[in-house]
Amino acid sequence: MNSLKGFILRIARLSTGFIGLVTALNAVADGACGSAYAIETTLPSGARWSMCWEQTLQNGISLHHIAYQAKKGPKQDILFRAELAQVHVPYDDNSARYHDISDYGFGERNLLELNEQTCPNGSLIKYYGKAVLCQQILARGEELRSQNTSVQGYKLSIFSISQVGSYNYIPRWDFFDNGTMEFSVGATGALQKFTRGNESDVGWLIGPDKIGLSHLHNFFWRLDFDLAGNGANDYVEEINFVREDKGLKAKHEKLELETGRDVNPDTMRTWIVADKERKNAVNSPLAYEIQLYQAGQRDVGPEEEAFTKYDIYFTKAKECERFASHNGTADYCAKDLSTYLNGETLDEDLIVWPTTSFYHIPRAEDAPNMNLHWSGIRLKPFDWHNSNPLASSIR
Amino acid sequence: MSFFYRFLCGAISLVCFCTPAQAAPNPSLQCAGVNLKQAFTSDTAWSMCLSLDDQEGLTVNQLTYTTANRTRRVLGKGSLAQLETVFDDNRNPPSFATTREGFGGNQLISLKSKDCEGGSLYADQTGRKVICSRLQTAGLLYNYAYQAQRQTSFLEIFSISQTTDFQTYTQRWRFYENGVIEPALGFSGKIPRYAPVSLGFGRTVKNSEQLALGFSNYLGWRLDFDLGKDSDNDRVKELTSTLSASRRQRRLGIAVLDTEAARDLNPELKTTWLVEDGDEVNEFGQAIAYEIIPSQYYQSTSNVRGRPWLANDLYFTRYKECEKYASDNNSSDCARNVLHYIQDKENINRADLVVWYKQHYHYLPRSDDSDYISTDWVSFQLMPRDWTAGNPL
Repeated sequence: MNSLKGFILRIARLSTGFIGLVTALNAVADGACGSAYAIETTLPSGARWSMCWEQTLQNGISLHHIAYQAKKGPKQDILFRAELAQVHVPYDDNSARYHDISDYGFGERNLLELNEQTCPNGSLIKYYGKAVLCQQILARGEELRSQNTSVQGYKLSIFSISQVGSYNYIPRWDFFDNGTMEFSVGATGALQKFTRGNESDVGWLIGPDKIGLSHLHNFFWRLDFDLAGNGANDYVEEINFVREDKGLKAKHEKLELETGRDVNPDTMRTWIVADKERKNAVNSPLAYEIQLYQAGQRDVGPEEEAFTKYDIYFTKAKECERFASHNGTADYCAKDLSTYLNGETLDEDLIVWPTTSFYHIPRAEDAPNMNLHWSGIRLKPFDWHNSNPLASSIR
Repeated sequence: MSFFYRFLCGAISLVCFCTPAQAAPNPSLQCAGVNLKQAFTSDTAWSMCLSLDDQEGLTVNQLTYTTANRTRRVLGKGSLAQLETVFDDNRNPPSFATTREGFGGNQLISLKSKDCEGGSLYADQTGRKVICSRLQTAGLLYNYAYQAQRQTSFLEIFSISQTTDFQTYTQRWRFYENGVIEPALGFSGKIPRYAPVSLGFGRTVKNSEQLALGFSNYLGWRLDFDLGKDSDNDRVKELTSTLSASRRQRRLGIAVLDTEAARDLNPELKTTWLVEDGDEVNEFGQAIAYEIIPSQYYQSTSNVRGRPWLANDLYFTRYKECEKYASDNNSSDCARNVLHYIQDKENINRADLVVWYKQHYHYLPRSDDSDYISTDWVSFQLMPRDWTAGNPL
């Protein structure tokens, strides 16, 4: 926890005493950044999202002080900070194993300038005169439907584009009016590596005498949760569904120490980050579920890439633990996720590192321009509300 | 066949024929339903016949994709051919929404124009508007620095069925400009069942006297591939990627599935499947193919009742007219479910091929869904592979 965060947390704690009265708790998010770095949006259904952004050489765009306010609900902080913390790209022939975020960077000159063509019906946000973020409000279809009753849903969508080698990566952050968040990365541009020939077991023919090399994109996010504005009282539970008494029972287990975990399709394993103090109307802790809905192509690499071992990691927050791999080791910091796991308690401020992998066997269609492929994770409200917040318009 | 196709009438730009169409292997060009064609500015286009079946609801028939000045058929028929539900307490046998209640007929919800903003509504044979069709923007198709960028869109088709008082399902198909097909099922409605706290199943969502029960929805998608001109010459290739001992290199393996088979997702091997045409090739000489891009792996194998057909993720069979549903297939003289369809190990190398994809979605109740469930989507994709030599867009 750095000193700025400590200071903000103290403000947040002061404010929580009045939480029942203060419906728009502005103390945390507001003032965390200047107006040039603030994004505040009210969606057509009345929900509000607010956050700050910043630009750095390696992460590109990071978001911080992410808060959500349901229509008629209080403004609640969710994430103190969220960013893409590595894109690891090993090639099938082992000719390259890139660490695109830490070694090349998504920011500065790799951050492409956007315009009205790349950002239709949206608004452009500038960094020192260069439009680097596109902000759009998009319809997302029906939020709910029962018989003839329905409500349409909307989302705030924010993206930037970073060029690394021949690849163009599009980190996208979607914020739904029901509180759900989807963080994704689109991969487009052009294939990076080729070999010659007409047949190959390390790639696929994409033109006469041209093989596009197969490769993986391992995406890692770093999410610093501060549910309801206080990161020191969040905890993680793993939920597994086990067969008991003929049916399926949800077994909740609190994760006490730093750990890496995997999806388990037999037990439909999932994880929630919950707040120790704040409860909803039926006394359930306010929580968010982390859904690894695109798991299934995880790649456990060689010994020296032990950070690829798990689908999701939970660590104690440390300012110097910035990247999933190739982390700077100044200030005695550990080098990657595998060594961040050193048995520390998760009882203080915690970081969640969700991952997803995309195995790309090129196709003839991938040249000259390669169509976008999206990889993502989802954060879903879990007893965050007392009832569906978008049903208020039909009650 | 008579109940298999329902007739739709009404709106502009659709054509009604009044004889039931034949499904593969001898497809007729006649459409019992809505003949729909959507062209994109890039000269690519989708065309299809949308039919409403009493049991399956919305089905997509004789689907063709036009790109690079060539029109080729992709699917003879695509449909959700079963939805089996088991509640977490497992006190009742599974329900079969497709084969018992049905997604069609009176279960289809009449749509208003606000339900289909920017699109067109199509009516069923009784004149009720139940299908929405619309073109939607999909953001960037590709971007390469400042040299190349292109926005794209997709055609979206959906209908909504109320299968029980509390369970609402949206059948949605998206057809992208670049040839990707995305079938999806949306889950909404109201929390369907509660159980006493003493049983210990479910979660508190609204009050503490009753617990809301979670449930498992098993989706059985049926994809009757008829690539290109001839529907009888398709084959399946299984692609696997094997790591070397050092785990630093991967080697691609390609195997043709010669006979009917059940197959599983495998993250370690990155298993994927192509359906390719036995004869037609692109300008590079590669077989034109569609790749099956699965999803929902993280819940895929849970199977509380131990139902045998749910043990595998994909089934590949040779087309048989009576093999209509993934499970609970009740027609006489026909096997009961996909697991039985593959028992006779018929040849599927250069055959009329049907792919069955089982997905599992588990609903975990939460307060945020009380009164009204926030719609959840389960989808997957079919993606062209070597359909064209190079990216035509």
